[in-house]
Amino acid sequence: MKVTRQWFEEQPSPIREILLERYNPSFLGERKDLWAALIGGFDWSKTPEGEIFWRNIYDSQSFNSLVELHKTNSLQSQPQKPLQPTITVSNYPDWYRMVNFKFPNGYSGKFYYCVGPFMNCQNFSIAAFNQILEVCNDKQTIELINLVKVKVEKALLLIDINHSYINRVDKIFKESVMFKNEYKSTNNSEMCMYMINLNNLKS
Amino acid sequence: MKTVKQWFEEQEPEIAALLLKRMRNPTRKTESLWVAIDLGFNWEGTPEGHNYWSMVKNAQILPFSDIDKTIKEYNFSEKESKEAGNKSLSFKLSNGYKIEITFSISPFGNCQNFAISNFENLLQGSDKDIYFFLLKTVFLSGKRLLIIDIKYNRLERIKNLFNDCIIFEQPYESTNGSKMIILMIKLTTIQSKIKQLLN
Repeated sequence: MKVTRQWFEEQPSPIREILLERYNPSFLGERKDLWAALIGGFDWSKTPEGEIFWRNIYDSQSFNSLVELHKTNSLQSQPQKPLQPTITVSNYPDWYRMVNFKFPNGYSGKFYYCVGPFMNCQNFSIAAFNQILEVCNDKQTIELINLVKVKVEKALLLIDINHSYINRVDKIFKESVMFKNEYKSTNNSEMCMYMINLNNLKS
Repeated sequence: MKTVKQWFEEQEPEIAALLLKRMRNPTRKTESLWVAIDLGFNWEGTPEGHNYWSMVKNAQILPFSDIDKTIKEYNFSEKESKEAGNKSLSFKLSNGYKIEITFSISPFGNCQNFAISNFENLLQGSDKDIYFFLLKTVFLSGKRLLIIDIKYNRLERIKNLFNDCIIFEQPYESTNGSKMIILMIKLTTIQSKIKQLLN
């Protein structure tokens, strides 16, 4: 059993890129095979290809038609894509801000951050940081956080994540980690709180 | 596993009387008191209302009469933001000074913890003021892990208040050179602290 994203990442290009672009991280859970991941990975009706197209792929258990479609689309000239992700920040109630982001390769998502969880002029928090880690690779995560830092104008980031993400966070933020505290939550989850100094974060 | 009736009968007399009066499903077996409250009766049909029992269940605290009475005396005035926002509570401290404290319900997107923004203002109050404020926030947030970020020199007071409830304390030097400390405090025993204080 693997999570949907893992099934999609194992596919050859360009199938992998297309599936990951369509992938919706809020569709949680492990899938027994690629085809189960295809059903449970995103809402077919909300893709440019449409529900019938994906239904045919599922029924035939072949991505040939997807590759053909991609070739056709690639023949059309495309505008130069930016190297950095683009983000839009909108106000959320009080000290919360919603961030919508999109990378040139199609990875996109949204998250919210809290400008002043402690009314401290030096720190802020990002909520549900694991959702960023699910959608972005290490480099993209750093690029994204650097953009957020500019918007927030604070350098101390606090995140609270499940224990299973610790290795990944350590690898991404390395010497920027000011402290991390592992703890057991009131629902018995193994969690970890980090403070990261974004002034030390290298792209 | 016990029946709903058994769970209710085990509570302090006044609480037990109230729960047994509300009970509609006495023989149902449940794993905890909180599930028994969830399944033991229809919240909508009670004088306390759905919100009250929802808060009781989420906070996992049953206010006994003295506590309930004192909470009412504090006359907390609540300002509520929209979903995922903050709440502010203004109230009068025992010394007569009126303050407003804001707390963030979900700064980390974690269903178990919340943060109080200007905790240092709360430290102007007595121990009783602080405990009752926190009890109220547990009810309002339905969460029992509190995170605060304060100046390091306030640590001693915090330790006096919460010595056995601190999950972690993490001193750090902020980017403007301030000596700070972040603490995570478990509020599951806040009610027993209040009981000790009142006795």
